[in-house]
Amino acid sequence: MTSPAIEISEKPPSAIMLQLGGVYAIWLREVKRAIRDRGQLIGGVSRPLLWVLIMGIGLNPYFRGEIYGEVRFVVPYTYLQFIFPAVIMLNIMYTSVQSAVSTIWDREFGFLREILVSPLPRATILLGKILGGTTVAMFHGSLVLALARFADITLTPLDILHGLAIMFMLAFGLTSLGVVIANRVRSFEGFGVFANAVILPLYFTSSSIFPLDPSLTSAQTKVVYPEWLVMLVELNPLTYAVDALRGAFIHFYQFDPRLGPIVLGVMAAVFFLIAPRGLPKARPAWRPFPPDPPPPQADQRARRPRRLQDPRADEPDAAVAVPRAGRDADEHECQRALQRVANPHRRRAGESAVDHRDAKLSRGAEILFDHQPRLGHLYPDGEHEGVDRHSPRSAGDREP
Amino acid sequence: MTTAPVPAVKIEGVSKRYGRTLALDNVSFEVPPGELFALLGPNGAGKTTLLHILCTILRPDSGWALINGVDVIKNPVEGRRNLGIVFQEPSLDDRLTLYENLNFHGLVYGVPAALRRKRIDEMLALVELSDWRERLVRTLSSGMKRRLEIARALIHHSRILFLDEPTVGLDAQSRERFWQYVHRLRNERALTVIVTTHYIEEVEGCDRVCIIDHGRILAQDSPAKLKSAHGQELVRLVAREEAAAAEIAAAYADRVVRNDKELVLKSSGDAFTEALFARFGNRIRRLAVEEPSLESVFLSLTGRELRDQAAGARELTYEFGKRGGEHTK
Repeated sequence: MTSPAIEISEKPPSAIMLQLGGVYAIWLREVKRAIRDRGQLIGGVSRPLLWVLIMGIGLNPYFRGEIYGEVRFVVPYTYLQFIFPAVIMLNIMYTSVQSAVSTIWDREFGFLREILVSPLPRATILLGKILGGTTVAMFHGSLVLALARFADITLTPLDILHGLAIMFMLAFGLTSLGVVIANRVRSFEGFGVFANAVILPLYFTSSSIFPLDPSLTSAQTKVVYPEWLVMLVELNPLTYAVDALRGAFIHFYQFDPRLGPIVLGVMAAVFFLIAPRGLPKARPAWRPFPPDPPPPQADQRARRPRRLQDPRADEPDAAVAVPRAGRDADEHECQRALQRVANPHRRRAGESAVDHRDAKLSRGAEILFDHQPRLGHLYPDGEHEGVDRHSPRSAGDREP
Repeated sequence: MTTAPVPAVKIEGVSKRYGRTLALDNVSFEVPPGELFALLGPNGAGKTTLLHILCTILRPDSGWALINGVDVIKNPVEGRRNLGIVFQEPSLDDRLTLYENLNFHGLVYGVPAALRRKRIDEMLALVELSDWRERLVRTLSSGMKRRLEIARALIHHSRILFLDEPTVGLDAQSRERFWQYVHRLRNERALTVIVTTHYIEEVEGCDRVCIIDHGRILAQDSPAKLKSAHGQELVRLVAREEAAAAEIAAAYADRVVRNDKELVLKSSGDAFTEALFARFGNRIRRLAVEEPSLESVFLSLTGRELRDQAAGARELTYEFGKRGGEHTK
């Protein structure tokens, strides 16, 4: 045998080292990509500037309310101080979502395949991905801390550590949520809609820009604010995240201080556990070999909703070779859906529409010949051979 | 010296179906270590499906796939460690530098740090991209990206390299260079290479060729043997007028391979050509005798030419349209 040139391959690394290396590699990639993305960084800097310097300073004088002719401090802090932890959360929210976009990006541009072919389990891949996103989100959250001076907040090292721990849990949970949703969204456009439809409502109803006064009883609160709003705020898990951050940075809690970390921990765990579900099924659970799997055709038909089943599937082949002229719109739609599903040449994001037009044309011809093999007689002999050759149903038709 | 070596890649009775189309129909073959094995076939023949099954992206409906004796269906992780793959579509991260891409791959495959650094340097030198090491991948040309992908596939010292249509979209020069690297790599280390392609001229240099169409293996052997077994000397001719073409076709009805723009006849040697010339010599505008080539092997096996495979259906549609579609008949 000829192989003197084969090097002795190194010992395969231990499973744990391999996993750690994999997590590190994916984490490093996420972080590097984020650092190189100027747009994201600009957003991360300008957002807190707007919120703290303009919103915060602008609304500062109106924060102390007057109710029933009696001046009352709603919260013993200035509005700037009050809004400061919420702005940290806003920054984290946006950045977490951004890292979900990078998941979609990987999927659409092929890099995910490189990762999935590697000897790493899915959970490791996700952990690396989510930790990477978390790191970036925490960094963006920490950018806000640079504005602490303007908000009149003095930070002790212990406060900062406490805050970072809360920020980590929050960022981890939100990044996992982003990945969960990115795995279910098919396009960038769809994700853009999601981002705006989810982030801002969650942010505004998290008691981030107005307080639910802890000095009032719940009945009194409902006099000041409409009941539905109070309910929304109390149901929003991010309310407790903001509360925990306030506790860390300005030592002000609206709720039980233990509630924040618990809600955040549960959120992170739940979303991380759901995240692998939606990952493309590149690594299916292998069925044991043998026995032979059941014929996939029947299998697939059974799984497909009734509406999408080919109504002609049970008829004998010869009878359906020429579609009936007066079929109704329903059947037509059904056929189109089937063709769309069966079409391996359909255009995916990132492919140019011009090439796709050609592919569609040729695909159209194939389908045409598949369903109307008698069209073949329009051609001189031998010319249409290439197209209908693989159509099982046309075989009988073409007998001389 | 020892018993028969374990085949680097072994496929047995693999079938795969997408909906109504049978992409692979009971395909079996074996590739001994160190071989350059080509899967030749038109687009949609099932080549990529086969490779995806081998690198465990797809699961076959039936059959076995073994890599170095490891069943990749039962043990995908072990199988993947032994192979490197260059996908049809680029799968590099174009916001990382060349070095970072290779380093990522090494980390993910668990190559120890010192070895990783050494191999990255080696591989970059091999594909002549050392000067570009710190550049972002998006600044590279598509030929360079392909080379980088080969380098990446070898970072974890895979013994088996899958190349899925590696030269599609490259200009002739980069294509030639790409093949130079592949051949050099094979010389330097005992590398088994499985390549899919639909360029016939690239296949001539391979050890063995497997011709595949509509998911079935039509023939597999070395190019030379294929030529002598299925090859056919062909005569291509263009007649002066339609009538002459029809007459020639009628006279040699059993020899006609194709009859459209030009008439292609099977030849049985010089005598046939001379007879043809004596009979129709003054009515032929152009005539060429074609030695047996892989092209003609493919033609005789599938009854079509590989080159128009991709466009076959499309051109038929155009023709159809030009004649006015079905309404005018």
